[in-house]
Amino acid sequence: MSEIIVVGIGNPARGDDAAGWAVIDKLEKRIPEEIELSKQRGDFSALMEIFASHDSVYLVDACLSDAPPGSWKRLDGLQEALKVEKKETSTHALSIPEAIALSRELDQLPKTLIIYAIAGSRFQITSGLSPAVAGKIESIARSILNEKEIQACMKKV
Amino acid sequence: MSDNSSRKKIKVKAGIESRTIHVDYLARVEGEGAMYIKTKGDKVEEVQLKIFEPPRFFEALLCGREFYDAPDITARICGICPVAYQTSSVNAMENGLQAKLPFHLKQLRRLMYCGEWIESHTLHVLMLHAPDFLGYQDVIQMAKSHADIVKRGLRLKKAGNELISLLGGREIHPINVKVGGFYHLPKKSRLVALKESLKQARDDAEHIVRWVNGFEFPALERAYECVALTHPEEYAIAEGQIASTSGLQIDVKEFENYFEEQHVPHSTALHAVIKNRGSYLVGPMARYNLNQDKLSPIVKEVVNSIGFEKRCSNPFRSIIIRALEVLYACDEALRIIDRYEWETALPSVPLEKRAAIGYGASEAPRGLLYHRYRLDDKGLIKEARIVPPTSQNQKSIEEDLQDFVSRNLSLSDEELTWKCEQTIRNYDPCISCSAHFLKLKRLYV
Repeated sequence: MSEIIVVGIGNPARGDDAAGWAVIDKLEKRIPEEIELSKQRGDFSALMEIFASHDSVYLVDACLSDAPPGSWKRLDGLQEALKVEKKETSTHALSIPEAIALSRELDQLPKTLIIYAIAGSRFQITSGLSPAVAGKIESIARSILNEKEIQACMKKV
Repeated sequence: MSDNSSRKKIKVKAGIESRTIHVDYLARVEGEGAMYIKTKGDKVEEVQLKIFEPPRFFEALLCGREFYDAPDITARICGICPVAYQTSSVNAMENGLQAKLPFHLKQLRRLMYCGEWIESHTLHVLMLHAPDFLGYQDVIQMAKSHADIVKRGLRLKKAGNELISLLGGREIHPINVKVGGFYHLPKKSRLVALKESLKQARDDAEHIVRWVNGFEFPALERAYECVALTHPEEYAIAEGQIASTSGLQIDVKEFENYFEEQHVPHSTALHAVIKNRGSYLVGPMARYNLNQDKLSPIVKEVVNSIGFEKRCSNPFRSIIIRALEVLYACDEALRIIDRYEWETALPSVPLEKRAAIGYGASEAPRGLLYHRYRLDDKGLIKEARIVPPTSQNQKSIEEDLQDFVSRNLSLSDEELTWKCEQTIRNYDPCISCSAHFLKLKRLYV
């Protein structure tokens, strides 16, 4: 198990929800083997296991936002209070903010937890990435490659 | 107290003569449902479990598709119990196409199903239901004082997920199940590699049984007619005959002769009843009441050591049975893996297309799941019928609420609302599953 992991969360068949996986695809040949890459569908228990077993976790996920589609934000998952999406009903799962909160209670958070959230505009089946989101995948990948500890790891190699 | 954050609103109108409790959005259940209770004086006038999740048209969607599409399409009905949908659908297809599965394929189906029971039950027991009994808003609050229990639950869920991933290809909506067997069989070494985590899971499960057994349970005894699959040699999971505690014992193909679904105005899900008798109960409590003699020695020993009753009729105590079934599923998974010697056996049996009607059922974590398909001679689905456990339990849920509220009118509105939600969660209801149907009526003028 490596110390650093970049996790793309999403569903490749659900329009802009594929953004997380698209970023992982962009990183695949540009990141040293020492840094783990993972595609996840958002199962909270798998995510919590990733939190518990890595020092640094970088998450990329599409989100619903009032911001224009394609705009993205880098958030510190350990410091910033993340808004739980409007959820009238549980779908037998916890959201990412809830998974972080539960991991915090269990003292199983990584030392670093950075979240890249990109505003999506369409999430229908097989609709593919919207042009606005597709146009920002490379800039998110570059930002991750420029993260200090990822740079340090790349220099070591 | 109650988790108000996840609801749009709770309306509680209190008066001397009457009060109405209306929870617009039920929390910690799967899908979109509401609860409406109206009391007048010391009488409960009206109770409704309202399911307003939109119908999802799966039965219509299946029509015109190939018979072998059924397990992959129906798995999409539910993200938490896809193995149940796959198993009931392949059982029905294999019944219609007269395919006889050899022992090893039945054992592997059962093993995969154990994975689903472990992960689904654990999720409900620890993440969704236990907080009710301890007065926590949710599992995050509960973890502050019960971190060890939550960690055990996460380990258990992982063990269940691993079983499904190995046999099903992936843990959510598995892709390795086919009509006639599997696409690929796992190597023995990969199954053996799961034994350590399953042994740990078995220990964790026993710990959780004892933990939930220590809860305080509201008083409520109900005279259910329990309905579940039974099997002469095993605690029925993936196959069996349909039995009830009132003496019913029928083949799966006779289901619709004895049970019927009815429309009710307040629900997009159908209400199932036993013809001429009314409501009935499916799920862990029904299975335990009918099949406890088939539990493994380890589970029977735990049942005895906690002094658990032979016949359970308090729905709040179903959380203990769910935990016992997790223990059983871990133990049964280990038993099957220990005997696994079929990695070079055929992964499936050949099938011949024919016009047929096929009937299948299995025990989803929430209870009996019935499927029926009519196929034409090209193997195309002409008609599909799916009866999920939550629609079968809806009437019992409403009757539980009616009974519970009438005995507890002295509780404050807030306390009563909390307890009523807990009453609904006794069933681990899967509302998305129950709203899968379509009744299309065309009027030609």
